[in-house]
Amino acid sequence: MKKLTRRGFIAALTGAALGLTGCRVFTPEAVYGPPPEDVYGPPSDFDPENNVVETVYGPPEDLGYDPVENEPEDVYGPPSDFDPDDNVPEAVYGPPSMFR
Amino acid sequence: MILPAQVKTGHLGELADYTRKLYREPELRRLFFELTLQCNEHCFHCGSTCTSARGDELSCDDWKRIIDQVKADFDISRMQLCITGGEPLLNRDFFEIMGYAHEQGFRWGMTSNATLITPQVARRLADVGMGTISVSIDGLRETHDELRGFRGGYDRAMAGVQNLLDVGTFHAVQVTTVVNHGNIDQLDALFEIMDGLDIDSWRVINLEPIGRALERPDLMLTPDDYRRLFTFIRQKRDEGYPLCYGCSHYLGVDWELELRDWYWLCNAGVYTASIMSNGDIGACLDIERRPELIQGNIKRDRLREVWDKRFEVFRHDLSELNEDCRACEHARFCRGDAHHSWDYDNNRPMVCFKGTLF
Repeated sequence: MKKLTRRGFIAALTGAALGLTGCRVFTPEAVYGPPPEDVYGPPSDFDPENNVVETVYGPPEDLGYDPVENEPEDVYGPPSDFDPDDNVPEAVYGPPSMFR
Repeated sequence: MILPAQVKTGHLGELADYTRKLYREPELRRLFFELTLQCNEHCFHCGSTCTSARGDELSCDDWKRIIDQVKADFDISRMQLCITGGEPLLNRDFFEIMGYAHEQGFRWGMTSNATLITPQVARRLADVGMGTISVSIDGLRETHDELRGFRGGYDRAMAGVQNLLDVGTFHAVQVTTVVNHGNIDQLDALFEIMDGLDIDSWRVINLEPIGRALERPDLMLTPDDYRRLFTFIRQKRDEGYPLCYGCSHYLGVDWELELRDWYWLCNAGVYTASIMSNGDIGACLDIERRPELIQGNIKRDRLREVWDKRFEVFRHDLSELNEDCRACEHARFCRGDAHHSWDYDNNRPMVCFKGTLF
């Protein structure tokens, strides 16, 4: 398999995170473009913990979230950087069971 | 974990709201063409109960008219044709149909057992614009052949995969493995084989309680099997391997986005429609083909009208139909799970990972 290198993997994580921000080139639909290494561009010194998650959403520990007691949007408000319009499965394949 | 649970919870909440919008304003992005129900294999787990006989199927001219109609009526820039069967290559007009779709500007991908993909066929697939393909490998050689009822099928499928890779121009060559209680012990050995191929991804999914698989309850995964399967996928992904689970089911906040790159959403009827080999129009091809779930027939109905005015049965939360689901704290995110595994006789999900994963 075309295993992502550690740098590539981190770049992929960057891509996944940026995909959540609505940046289309990093969405699952990009499977139709070049292979992943090319899609994600040159590796950066991105640290997914400190750079993307906290920058975009704020440090999780500050949110005080209790999934049992709270409706999520009441605690966080709309996570504005997530674009559900881009939340589409990769369509390499067939129906879920792929029993064809 | 790729994102903190509370962040994923926020995303899932927004997705839940967005799903309501999709129910009102669906967008056709995945259009399945079931080019034939004919198949040269006889998989025990076939969801469409394929046969070796050719039934009452759409003609080449029918498919071309459909392609013209879809192009005229829909924005195809965000649409992909998903070609399936049966074994789609058994449609004698396959290359003419798909060459026409390519000429009309459609992106398309295919599922195949790959037993018919010789080097020449692989090159022709490239010529008619195939972008992606997923090939079924359901176990080690003996297991694969036994599950699919075709001696020699494994070797032919693996040769087909290699022939596809040798072409070198496809956007993605994927292998899909359906895991059941009988082949789950082969995951590690299969991983070694997949790792030796230059494929783009390995899709590992569970046996679903649909089609012929309903006759083999002994091969359904147990809760322990599920946890083992999903842990396997997550570990390999953590190591950087391009494994993924399918779109089949809601996995709970902790597991969502860990096994695939998107959050769960049943696409049936909101992003996905299908035209079956006899012209019937439905949502996902894995959904039981009972009359109330067939939305029309392409021989007499225009897909655009059917998409706009019917499909109501798919555009609501299934959880509304079941008392236990309505009361479940996860219903907002799972919405009753998937249409293909919904028991429409008893209005209950046949697959629910509550208690197994979350």
